[in-house]
Amino acid sequence: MAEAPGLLERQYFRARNGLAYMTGETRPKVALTPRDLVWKEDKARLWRYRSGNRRYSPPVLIVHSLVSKSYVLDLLPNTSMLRFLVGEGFDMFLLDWEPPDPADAENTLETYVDGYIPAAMHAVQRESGADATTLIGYCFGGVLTLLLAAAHPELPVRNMMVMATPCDYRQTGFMSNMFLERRLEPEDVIDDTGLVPARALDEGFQTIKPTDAVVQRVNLFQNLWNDTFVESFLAMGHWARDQVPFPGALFRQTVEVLIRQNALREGAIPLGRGEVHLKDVTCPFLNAYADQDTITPAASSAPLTPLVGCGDATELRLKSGHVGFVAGRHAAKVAQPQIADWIRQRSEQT
Amino acid sequence: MTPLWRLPFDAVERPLSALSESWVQSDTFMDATAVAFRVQRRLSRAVQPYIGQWLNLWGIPSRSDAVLISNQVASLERQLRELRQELRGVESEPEGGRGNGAVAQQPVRSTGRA
Repeated sequence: MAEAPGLLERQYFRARNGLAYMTGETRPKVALTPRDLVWKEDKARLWRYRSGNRRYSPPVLIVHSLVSKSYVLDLLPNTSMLRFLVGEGFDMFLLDWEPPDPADAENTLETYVDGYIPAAMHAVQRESGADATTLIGYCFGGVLTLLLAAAHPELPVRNMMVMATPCDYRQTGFMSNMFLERRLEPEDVIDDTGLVPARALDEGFQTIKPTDAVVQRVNLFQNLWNDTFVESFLAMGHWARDQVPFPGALFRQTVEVLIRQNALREGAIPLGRGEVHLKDVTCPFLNAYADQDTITPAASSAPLTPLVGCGDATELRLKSGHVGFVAGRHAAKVAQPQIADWIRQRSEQT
Repeated sequence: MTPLWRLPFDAVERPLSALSESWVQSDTFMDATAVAFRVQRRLSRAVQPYIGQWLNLWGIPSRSDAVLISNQVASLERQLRELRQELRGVESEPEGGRGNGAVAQQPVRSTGRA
């Protein structure tokens, strides 16, 4: 390990990094792991990560949330979940979403669960030549993958993992409670274009930890001499505020079905013309969630494990926050190796 | 090692953070937030027409003009998406039947490599 700089050296680094921060010159480059766009439909994009070392089958498809941007999964090279899994020999695909615009305002759960995600899975099979897929859903992406597996048993889902995925919306706190108890209705938040503005989501997340903005800046000042810390801080800080709009029709459905009816917790979710049941998810299942997650609290995610119908349902409980699986030192040292092991045990070597 | 100057900050911040994080989950805060949100939205909607009229006087499109056009384009794009899905459903139909039109049934096009 490199020796920590002396006092004078630290002040020099502090001044240098501080000036660069104030002039906005220090934003690190993110999402650097090489990849190719192999399929696109409207705002849905399917990326395949380049590798000369693919050793396991089936391929792994990560379905990203609709609530944030996907580069958190490949934030910085040393802690990137995608880079790590590529390095472990997995054939990695990522399904993410360009920021929605008014054309997406009428998108619903069915648009994704019956449309984009199955189409992306077909594209994964076509690109990889495999006849099955391991699915990973992050945050709201986990909700979508659960509904997909429950609604489409004909799709070849070999294994499924969800990370920081809400199940019991009675336990998710401020943002859900505002709608649960009808203090606000979806129409109060949806704007004239039919979308929930990115600013509304950002303000909601900021409200959960009111002093966080100050604390983060004090942390930055304290560690301003440390290039690694500064790089990580800026990358994560930028992502945390880089919100996207949310389709209004999907928001209405989320409020009514997921929050007010708490349908996921009940295990029965109205979808399409019928109802889907989590007990129909029968593939090997891993529910990963974090003790210190303030966005999807552990109490919200934990009930999911016994609701699925497979005999191989396990949990991974981490001592971290919402992004503790995908970014940061804890992710790289603790979460990602355990995730890789779980997938590896349920894959074949090629 | 924690610097000395950080200690008084932490001594104040930690209880304050705990209190504030608890406060935002309270009924009182949530009720007040809902009222503030609605008042802000109502004020904005009351003021925007006047701003729009003033902008139009100068030949500048207002926010509502932009939203109107944006929504019209969005509607066209949605119709295009529906037509495309119907076309796929027809193309994949087995003889004598109608597919469900779900995108999942169709081989989808690949775009060029990024």
